[in-house]
Amino acid sequence: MNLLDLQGWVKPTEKQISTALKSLPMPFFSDISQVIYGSGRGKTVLSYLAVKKLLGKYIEQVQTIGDCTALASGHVADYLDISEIIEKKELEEWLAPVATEPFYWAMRVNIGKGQLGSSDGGIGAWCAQAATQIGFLIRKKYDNEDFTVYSGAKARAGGMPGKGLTGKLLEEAKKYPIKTTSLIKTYEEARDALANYYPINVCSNRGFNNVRDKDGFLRPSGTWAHSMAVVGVDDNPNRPGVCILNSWPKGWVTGPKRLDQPDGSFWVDADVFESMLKQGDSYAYSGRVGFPKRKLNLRIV
Amino acid sequence: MNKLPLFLLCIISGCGYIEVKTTDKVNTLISQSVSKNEASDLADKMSDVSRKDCLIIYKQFAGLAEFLENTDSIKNTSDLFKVIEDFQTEYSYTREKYESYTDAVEEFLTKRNYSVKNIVDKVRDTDNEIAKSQVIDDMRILGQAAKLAMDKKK
Repeated sequence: MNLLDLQGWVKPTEKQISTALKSLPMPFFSDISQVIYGSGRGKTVLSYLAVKKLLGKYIEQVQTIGDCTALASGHVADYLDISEIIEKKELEEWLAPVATEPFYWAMRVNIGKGQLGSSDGGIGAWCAQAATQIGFLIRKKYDNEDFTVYSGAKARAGGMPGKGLTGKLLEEAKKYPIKTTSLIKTYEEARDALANYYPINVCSNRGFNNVRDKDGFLRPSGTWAHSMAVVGVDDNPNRPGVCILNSWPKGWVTGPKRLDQPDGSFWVDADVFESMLKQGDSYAYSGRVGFPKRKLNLRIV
Repeated sequence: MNKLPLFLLCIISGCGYIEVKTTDKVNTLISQSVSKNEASDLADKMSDVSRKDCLIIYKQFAGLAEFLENTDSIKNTSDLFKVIEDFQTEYSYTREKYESYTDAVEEFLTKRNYSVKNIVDKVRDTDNEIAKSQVIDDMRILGQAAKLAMDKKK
């Protein structure tokens, strides 16, 4: 599979960014981060470990078309939700990963109004809007649609102009939104967000090589018009950086790992990461409305 | 996760078969950290449970306690109840056959927050976790109750 087909970030226009920011209740992380400012300094906080604790493995959904923005948002929502359950002790129940296809539909059509036509792809700002204004379905069978297994073809079909997320599925998704999504512009903002278990959907055209160095980092190389989930921070004074989870097929990256990172992930140096954020389409997600914990049936004998 | 064969092996090796005299190994197992009052109270609710079913229940919970001591594969209370369900299917045991006993076990588990605390953690006992050691003790209490009930029927 050609990795070029598995990108899918479309650089937004000024107007598209402006429209998105006006619709978000807390558009800029810098405006709301005073309480947690500096809280990530020197910290190593790895949201991905909460996922492994709960599930025994990482969630690593893999794309087959250019729907990286939906995959990244799905990973962010899942890692956020599980962090809230494990680290913040929220009494919610984990049921299944996000179904990325309906989110892709909602992002491209309900929010984006079909502006991208029939080409694959999405915009971080639209994902931020869709996450808060529409919400997420999960990998299970609904009355008239089965999202148990990912389908790139299904994602593409529903993301065409005039399609989108509708009817009962739309009603259901709206029960499970993200509470806030906010634009992240600097490494320090990202560091503080990640240290408080707010993962980030990073969108840029920054490319990388595919062999991790001895510290688990990739170095910048080439161009990827791509969206990925940021699921950890290590504000190590020697080499500060973030852990990024990609949604490409297994084996796309090799080399040493560290801090028990997921297989499809890599570390990025702080300055490189900031250059990605400066492209202006990366958002931190906080507070997912998840599934209330079911009371278990205790009539077990 | 292939829990059932190992679970059954624990039952067979530790507890024996029908009409068994309990082994020293099992007596030692059960005598650790068991609240006799709680077990006794539960046993009182088993007066209408047949001796055969008492034995099945005893094997189930005593074996489960030993299984839990030797595995980390039970991640949450849903996993725990699934193992119990599989065991009951294997032994053709029907749930809620003895209503007062079912009520008593439900009350026992509710008091210990099994309906809310979900994740079985090695050490911690916080808002959404339950300490593994507590789960082991609770399974032992349930097993001891069944043994007491069975002994009364001799």
